[in-house]
Amino acid sequence: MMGMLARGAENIYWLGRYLERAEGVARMLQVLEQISLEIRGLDPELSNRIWEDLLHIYPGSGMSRPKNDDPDQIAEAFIRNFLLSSDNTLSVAYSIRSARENARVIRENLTREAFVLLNECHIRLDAFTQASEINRMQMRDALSFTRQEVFGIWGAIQQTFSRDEGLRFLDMGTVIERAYRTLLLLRVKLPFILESPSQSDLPIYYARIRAMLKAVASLENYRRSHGADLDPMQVSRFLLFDQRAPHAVQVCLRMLKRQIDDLEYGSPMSHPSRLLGKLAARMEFEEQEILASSSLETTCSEIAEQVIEIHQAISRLYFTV
Amino acid sequence: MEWRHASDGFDEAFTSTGDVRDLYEGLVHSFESLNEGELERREQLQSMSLINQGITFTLYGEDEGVERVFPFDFVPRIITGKEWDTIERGVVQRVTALNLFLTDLYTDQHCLREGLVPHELVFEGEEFLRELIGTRPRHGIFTQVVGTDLLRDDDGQFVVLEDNCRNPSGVSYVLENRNLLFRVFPELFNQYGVRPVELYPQMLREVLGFTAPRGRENPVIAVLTPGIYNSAYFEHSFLAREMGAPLVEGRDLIVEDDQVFMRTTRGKQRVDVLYRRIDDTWLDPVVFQEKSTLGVPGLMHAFRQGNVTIANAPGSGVADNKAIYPWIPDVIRFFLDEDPILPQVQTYIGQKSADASYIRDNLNELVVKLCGGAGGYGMLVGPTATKKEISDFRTRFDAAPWDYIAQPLVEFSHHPTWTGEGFEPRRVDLRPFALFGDGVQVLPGGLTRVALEEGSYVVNSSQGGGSKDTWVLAENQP
Repeated sequence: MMGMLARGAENIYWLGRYLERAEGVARMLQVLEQISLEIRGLDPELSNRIWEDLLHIYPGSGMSRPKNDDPDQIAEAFIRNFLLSSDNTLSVAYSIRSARENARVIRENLTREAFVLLNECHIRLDAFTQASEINRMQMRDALSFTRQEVFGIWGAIQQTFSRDEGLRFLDMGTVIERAYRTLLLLRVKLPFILESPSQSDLPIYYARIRAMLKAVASLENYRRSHGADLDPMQVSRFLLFDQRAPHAVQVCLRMLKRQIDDLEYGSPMSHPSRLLGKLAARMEFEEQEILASSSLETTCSEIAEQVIEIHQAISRLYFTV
Repeated sequence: MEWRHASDGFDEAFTSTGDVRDLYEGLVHSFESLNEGELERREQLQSMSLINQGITFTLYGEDEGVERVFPFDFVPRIITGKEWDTIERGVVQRVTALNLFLTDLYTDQHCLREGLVPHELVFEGEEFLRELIGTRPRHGIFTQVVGTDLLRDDDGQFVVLEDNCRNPSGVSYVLENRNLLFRVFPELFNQYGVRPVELYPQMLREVLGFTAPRGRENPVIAVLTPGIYNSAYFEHSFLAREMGAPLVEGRDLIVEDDQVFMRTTRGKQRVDVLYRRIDDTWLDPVVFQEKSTLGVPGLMHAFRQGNVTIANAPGSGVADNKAIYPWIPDVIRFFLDEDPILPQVQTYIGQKSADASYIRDNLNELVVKLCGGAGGYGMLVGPTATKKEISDFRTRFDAAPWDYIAQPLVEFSHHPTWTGEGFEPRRVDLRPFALFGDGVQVLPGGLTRVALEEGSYVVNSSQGGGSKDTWVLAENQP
């Protein structure tokens, strides 16, 4: 059977990662803006500090904490940087531009519908990055339309793409990015949510758990499964293991495994497959041990490292022929 | 809504007295039935369509790397079935003769021994590749794809301005222009039976498959591009997508045991046909430019061994060298024993001393071109140039007169073109595309390029040109 061009596979894999990242960062910015407003009156210092979560969930942005203490200016600095900056390789604009560059490289593998939607999104966002003055309201609009347009692109991909290797690599890039960010979010947030709050801190405590679930598009799904009870262990289990949560780590790893199994059907087991099998088995059979571990955030860190190893093994095997 | 006709030269849509030609009456009527607001709305729809679909080319020079939309003028150019028949026969004749000429140049060289073409013009041009002497591509086909640039002279007759035998580009716009017009002005098609152009990718694939190395059933065809920063990258990816072929760069390919392979997710995969959109000199660093990172080491050897088809074949450029052009009518007579169907423009050759003096003394009246130039670069249009431009050009010409040819300024035909305020006459040319496989076929359409600036002769996309949809009418149409 003929494989796809290795460089094409790499570009389509990264197209998936960048689209997921763009939508993820845009969602995170919306959530952080809302939570910081929600708790500003209750804990102004936390309302400012909460933006720093971004630096830990998306490390390598190059952004440092603003020296200013003005909550509006802090919020604006983070939103502007993570939405529009061309120096921040994790910004929404950078991710969309990179996704579009990947798409141009492999345009012969894309359908016209998917390319046009991505190009439209890039052009619309690029107009914002070129504009001399962008106010906060316009940035909010940009976050909303970018998310909507990325959903549109995914829709076009699902509806029009050929069911071949290209789609597999795209899905692989998407779920690796998703699993990795969920794990980093858990790593950052678990120390806080696993603490017992004092009675007076409860409103902030639950607001932050809700924000955490929203940050991975899971609040509604969680409520559908567990009602309004925001039990911290239940939330952790939901984001790590629940099959109903599209951003749950185990769901992502299962999808990744399915794609790799399809790719390697009839071939001897590869290195990425072996690494993934090991991790998937741990997630499958050691759920209780993982949840009961003394430092769940450290475990999440370890799993995140393993996800990166799988990414590297995929790159070596498929993209460096 | 104002329509202005050309005051000089042939106007495609109007007679010399300003009456609408019968052929264009339906079209003019259709546009007149739209009010200006509607036209503006459609124009906006068209612009957004071009931008959103990324139908672009990339600029070189000052704005290097910048993607630009190739301007599209929505007033289609119409060619009758009868006129097309002449064009088609003329192009088929020319492409057939050019391939016989190339085969002869690289094998027996009868045409040189019999003095048909001066030796020095062939051997001194860098387009002739000595490395390929003795090589005969499959079926003797050097140029699977040829774009022949035509003008319509003052008498309404089509004449050949030049042949493009290396990497003729623009066919993607032919197809996209048609799609765009269908979407934006569907009513224009109501009164005309327009021959379709959508078959081109299928025709191209068949031609490439036909010329694949002997014994390769279901050959693997790939399009070879220099990469996303090449000016014609949109076209490369367009053709790859439409043909269902992978779009490869040099770094995706390796040559082992004189066979070409591409690097895939399942290891190395043999490639049989490379539709290359890279110039000869970048194809293989072992043979040509040592520092080329665009090409593939060993590719030329694999080609000489007949293990891979390169389309168009390396060395084809000798047939479209501007210095060889004056001899093409003789080439047609020599190889086909026929008179040329399409006339061509009188040409002075800088390599001949008498011609060089004439060119030097008449720069203000001539169009002077670099023999190896393309895209309108390195060209002087004497009648519209300033004194300084002529003087600067003379300095360059004197340094290497043999590098130039010159032609009298042939008036292009004009075609109504929407300027945003009205329909104004603008100069147009025509590039039909011929495919050579199991016979020569000409796509019934072609790229009509238009000089969008008033008074301009330059139709190249890189220098302010645009394009139009070109309608070839079915035979039963007027």
